[in-house]
Amino acid sequence: MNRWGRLATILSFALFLLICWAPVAALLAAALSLPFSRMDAAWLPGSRRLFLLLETLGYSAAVASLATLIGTAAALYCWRRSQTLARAARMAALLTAAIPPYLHALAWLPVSAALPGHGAGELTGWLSAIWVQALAMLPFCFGIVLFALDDLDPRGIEAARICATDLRLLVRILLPLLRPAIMAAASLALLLTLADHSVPSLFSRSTYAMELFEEFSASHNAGQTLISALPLMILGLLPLVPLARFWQKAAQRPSRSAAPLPPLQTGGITALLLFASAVFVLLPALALSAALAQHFDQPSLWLQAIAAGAPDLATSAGVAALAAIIACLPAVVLSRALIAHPRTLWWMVCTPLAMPSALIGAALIWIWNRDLPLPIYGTFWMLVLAALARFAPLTVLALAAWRSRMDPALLEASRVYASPARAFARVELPLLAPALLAGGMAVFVLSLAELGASLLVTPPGRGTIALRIYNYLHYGASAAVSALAFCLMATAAIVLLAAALLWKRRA
Amino acid sequence: MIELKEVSKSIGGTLVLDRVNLSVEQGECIAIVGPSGTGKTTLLRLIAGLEPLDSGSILLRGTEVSRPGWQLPPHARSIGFQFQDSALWPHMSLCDNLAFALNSGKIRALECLRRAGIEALASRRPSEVSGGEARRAALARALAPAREIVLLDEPLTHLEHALRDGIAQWIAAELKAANAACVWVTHEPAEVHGIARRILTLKDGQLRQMQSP
Amino acid sequence: MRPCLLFVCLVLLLVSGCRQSAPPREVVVYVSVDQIHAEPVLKRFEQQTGIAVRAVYDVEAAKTTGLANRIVAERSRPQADLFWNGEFVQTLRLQAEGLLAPSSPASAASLPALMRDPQGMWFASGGRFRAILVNTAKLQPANRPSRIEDFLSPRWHGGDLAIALPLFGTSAAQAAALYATLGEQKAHDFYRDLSKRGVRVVDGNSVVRDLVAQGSAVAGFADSDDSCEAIASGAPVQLVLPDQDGPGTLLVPGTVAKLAGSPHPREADALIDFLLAPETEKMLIDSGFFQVSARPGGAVSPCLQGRTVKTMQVGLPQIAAELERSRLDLTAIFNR
Repeated sequence: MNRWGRLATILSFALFLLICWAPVAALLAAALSLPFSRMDAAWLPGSRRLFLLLETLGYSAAVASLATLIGTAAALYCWRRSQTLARAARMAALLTAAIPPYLHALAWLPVSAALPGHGAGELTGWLSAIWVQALAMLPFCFGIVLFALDDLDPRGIEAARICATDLRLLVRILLPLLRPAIMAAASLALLLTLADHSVPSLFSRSTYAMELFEEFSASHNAGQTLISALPLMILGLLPLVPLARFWQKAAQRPSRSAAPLPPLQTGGITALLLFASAVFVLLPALALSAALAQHFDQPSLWLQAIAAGAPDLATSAGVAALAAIIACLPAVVLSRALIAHPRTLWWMVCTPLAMPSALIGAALIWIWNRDLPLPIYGTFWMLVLAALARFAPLTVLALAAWRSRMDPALLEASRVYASPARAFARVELPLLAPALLAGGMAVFVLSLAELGASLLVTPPGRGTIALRIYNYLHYGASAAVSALAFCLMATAAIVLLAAALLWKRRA
Repeated sequence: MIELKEVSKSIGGTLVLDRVNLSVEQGECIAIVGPSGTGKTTLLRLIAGLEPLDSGSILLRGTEVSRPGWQLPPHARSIGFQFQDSALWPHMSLCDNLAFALNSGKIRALECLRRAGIEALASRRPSEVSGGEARRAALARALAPAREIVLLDEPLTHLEHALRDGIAQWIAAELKAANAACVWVTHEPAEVHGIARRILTLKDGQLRQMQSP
Repeated sequence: MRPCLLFVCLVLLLVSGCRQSAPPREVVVYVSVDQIHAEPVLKRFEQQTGIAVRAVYDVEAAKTTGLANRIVAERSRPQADLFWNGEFVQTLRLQAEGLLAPSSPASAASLPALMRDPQGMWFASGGRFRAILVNTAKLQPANRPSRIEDFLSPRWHGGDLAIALPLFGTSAAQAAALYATLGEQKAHDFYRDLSKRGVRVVDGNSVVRDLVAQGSAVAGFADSDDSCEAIASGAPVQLVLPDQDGPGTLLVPGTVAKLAGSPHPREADALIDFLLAPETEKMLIDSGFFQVSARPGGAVSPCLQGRTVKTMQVGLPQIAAELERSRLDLTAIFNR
């Protein structure tokens, strides 16, 4: 590595640490500066908190199970099938991944209201929240399992088909082979659900993440909030273990050429899988369209809401675009290091993903709300920092996965024929482009809808579209919410489709 | 042109090259044969500067380029390297692949492709040509004129038999025209018959003379 | 390379779009009145005065404590000029922390003494009642509770009645008011008995509204804005203003206060004056956020059907002073 290479490595690590680990360090510092008595009180949860933690865990586990079950079934149906439904499911997975959970809630609030005991009913509230959150998690579970299926060695499956029916193939070969992927899908859903409080709160259910948000709102004490958050964070770190295992396996396997395998034919089971796919593709789309169309007959209200929300949408898009670009900068070098030292660096890269969003907001206030040469507090950049702190690890993961599937000879050949700078600009960067695009898009789409941390750091006069939708949603589904939700989804969809087209051209 | 002095290298605790000495003159082509996993490719990678060596030194054109703890970067060694799997950059056309490697304009790149007999495919990407055509392009990159040192890592494997002789003859002609020093790694001695002046075997980390053709 | 170039241009465009040229006059306001109600008011102010308003809105979840705490956190480097609060507890808390600055808006002249701070640190504007919401399908007129004490009547079964956990928001303010007016012992006994009789304690006032509207509870303490919303949606409910023959119903007014160290003090004064004006109060009553003016004889929501309301005569500082003590007591009673 020459001098410039070393400099780039140092800068990349420094940038990543500043983006993702400065908030963690700040919280630790704030927590350590607490008097011992307050630490003790925050760390030992009262009976109500303990119950809340258990309730949150139960809720998250239910969401993860439901989403993994439907996602796996849908992926099994769509695997190697080219029918319209299977194609639609792949498309739906791409597009609905961009829909934040609280927008699914918009679609299902009226349904939930019609159920007996709405809102106050502990059970119906929880059931509605589980259903909605599971729909939001479905695309991720579906995507992971389908990716793993596409990655299976076709020869092994052909060998099994010679001696067994597809049903036995499914039970004895496919499901055991898919176990890491299924575990990873469930873990991801669990991780994302533990940290998200938006959906349960819309159904009048409180979760531990919500409690943290309220605690910080009530005390503005980042350290105390961190100590209260420890049980949730420890729970959040657990799902990272199966995720790490799956990622390391997936990243180290070279991609195989797809042999023309026929799809699964498993009699009654196929019908079940078909049903799961249909649920996955049709229900969220139908519910959202119905919710949007419900108020479509009031074009003036739509226009009013869009006019009011346009500056917020611009802010959100600006924040998301900047976060996506900045997240890519350290990822190029960091992904290389992650492949070289997967065991140590995996935790450095992924631990920030387990941080509850409210805590990230709290930490950013703690860091930046003081006299600094960079007047960042109270500006637009606080929102960018919040998005980066939450989602920057995703670009590193995307790039590292892509890198380890790249033929190493390609980079070596460039080293033989060109200087490091030229090789980087003309060969390495273009080869990484699809992964940069994918990672950047993930950050863009998630930042566009980010809520938990933005709530705390939004600058005066600059709300985000997600905040506005969330505030309006507490009044139930209305024309204004529909219009804003439509704008948010359209923006995400346009950017995603553009990215998908670019990807197709590049890859 | 190429000189290895007491070069040793271990990978993952296994000694792959054990105090190897080798010298290749200008205009000379030598072949190294042996079953897979014996360290043939590692030897080429050391000469190319893609890997550091443990002990000994390597000289190219009389100048030291590798010693323990220091090595001249690969691109500064002015060599041609044919990788086992072609390693053409998939995002560039064949012509761009050559132009990039030669650090020149398209005219020189086209000239190289013409000599390889695939000028018509210049604007195609590697994924749009056959395996044999891609191999010719990769070889054209490695053999580009004015490269005095050429390293070939199994340049004919995975090619149809009918193609092999033609490509081998073309390689020999190019090497002769450039008066290049060449190390040709293969596991089939028959491939280099009539091309390599010496054939060496690599076994237990040691190079041994096999025969003089 | 062309797509890359395009991308860079797009980013530059976005970034340049994000930078706004500083307007000549502006005011920064932290708003805990719901955004949907507050935004049109602030828009009108901008139109009338040409002063740009930069607002931060609180979210439902933070229960107004979020912004108050942000003001506390920003104490050393104040960012906001004024705090426009949908209730009063947090405003008084900020006053106790020494974070408010005095002002003397002309439109505050008509406010009664209980609805303003003698030093001009805060002013009330509009208000909501702590009402009793009754399901008319489940309860005959004769059986409907008309006083707060009626909740202890032996005719209710466990689960008939619902209240929001009295530790947060307006239900906490109501509890503090009871501690202030009845005395600690009587208020303690009241809540202890409520808890003993198995009244349903839920997470928010909107949950109480939903329970009563569906008939899963027959009556509950609710905010008048939630109650009026339920009435407007056609639910079989009635809003009862409790204790009209006794001490009166608790009015929870919104408050406006200038913040110490306000970066734009003149603009802040202009906005405070505008927010306290009877026309602004009327806007918020019409939109449904408030039900009544903070001035005697001021505008009243049609939802109250022209009733004149006897309000509880208790000072807001008195309620705020009881808040911490009542919260500790209630935490023990409701085992939270």
